[in-house]
Amino acid sequence: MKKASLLIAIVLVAAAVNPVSAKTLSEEQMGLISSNCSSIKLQLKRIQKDDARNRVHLGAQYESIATNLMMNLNLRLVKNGMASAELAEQQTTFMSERDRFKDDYIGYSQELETLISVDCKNEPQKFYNQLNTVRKKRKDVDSSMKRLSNIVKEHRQSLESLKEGLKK
Amino acid sequence: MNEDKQIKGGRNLILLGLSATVIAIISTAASLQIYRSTGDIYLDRSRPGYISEGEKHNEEDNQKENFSNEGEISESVIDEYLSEFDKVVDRIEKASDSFSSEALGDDSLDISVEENED
Repeated sequence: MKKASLLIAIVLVAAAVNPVSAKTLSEEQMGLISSNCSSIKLQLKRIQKDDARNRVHLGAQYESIATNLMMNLNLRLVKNGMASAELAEQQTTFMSERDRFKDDYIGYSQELETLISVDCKNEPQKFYNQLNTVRKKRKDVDSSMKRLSNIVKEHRQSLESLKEGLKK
Repeated sequence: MNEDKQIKGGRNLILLGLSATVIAIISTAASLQIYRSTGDIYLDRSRPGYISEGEKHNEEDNQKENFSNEGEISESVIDEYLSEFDKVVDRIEKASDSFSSEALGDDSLDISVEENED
C-alpha cells in the first residue's frame, strides 16, 4: 500500500515537473529523424529567421498601437475632461500583454535554439522531446498574440460606443 | 643597477598588458552571458544575418501612424483615430499566422509516419 502511494506520488511529481508529454517514438520515426537530420536542422534555422523577422514586425505594430495611438488618445480625452476608465484600462492591459508577448517569445527562442543544438542524428528521442517543448512555447506566443488581438477588438468597440455618445 | 630597473620595468609592463587582457576577456564573457541570459539576443534587431537592412527600412516606413494628444474630441476626430488604428490592425491581421503550430508539425518537418491500423 505504502509502495503504491509512493509510486503514484513519484508519477504525479514527474508529471508536474515535465508537463510536456514525452511520446516514445517508433523505430521508424526515430530512423526518419536521424536520416533527415540535416534537412530538419536547415528548416528549423529558416523558421528561426522567419520568427525573428515576424517578432520585429509585430513588436513594431504593438508599439505603434500602445504609444502612438492608445496613449495619445487617452491623454487627449483627459485634456478634454472626457477621461474614460475603460479605454485607460485597455491601454494598461494591452501594454502588459505586449510585455508578456515579448517574454513568451524569448522563452520560445531559447528552447528553439536548444532544439537546434540537439544532435538529432544520434539522439532522435531527445530531439523529439525538445521539439514538443518548443511546440508548447510557440503555442504560448500564439496565444499571447490572440489575447492582444482581442484587446484590439474590444478597444475598437469602445471607440464606436464613444463615437455614438458624441453624436447625441 | 640601471639594468635591474629596466628588467623590472619591462616585467611590470608585461604584467600590466596581461592583466588588462585578462580583465577584457572576463568582462566581455560576462557581458555576452548577460546578453544571452536576459534574452536580449533574441530581440536584437542588429543580430547579424537575422533582419536585412531593407527589411529594417520597410519596418521604419510602416511606423508612420500617429495621433496627436492635443485638440478637441469630436466624431470626426474619432473617425480619424480609427482610420489610423485600422491600418495597424490590418498589418497585425496579415501576420496573425506567424506563430501557428503548423510550421513545427510532424508533416512540415517531414518526420510524420503513417500509422497503419490492423
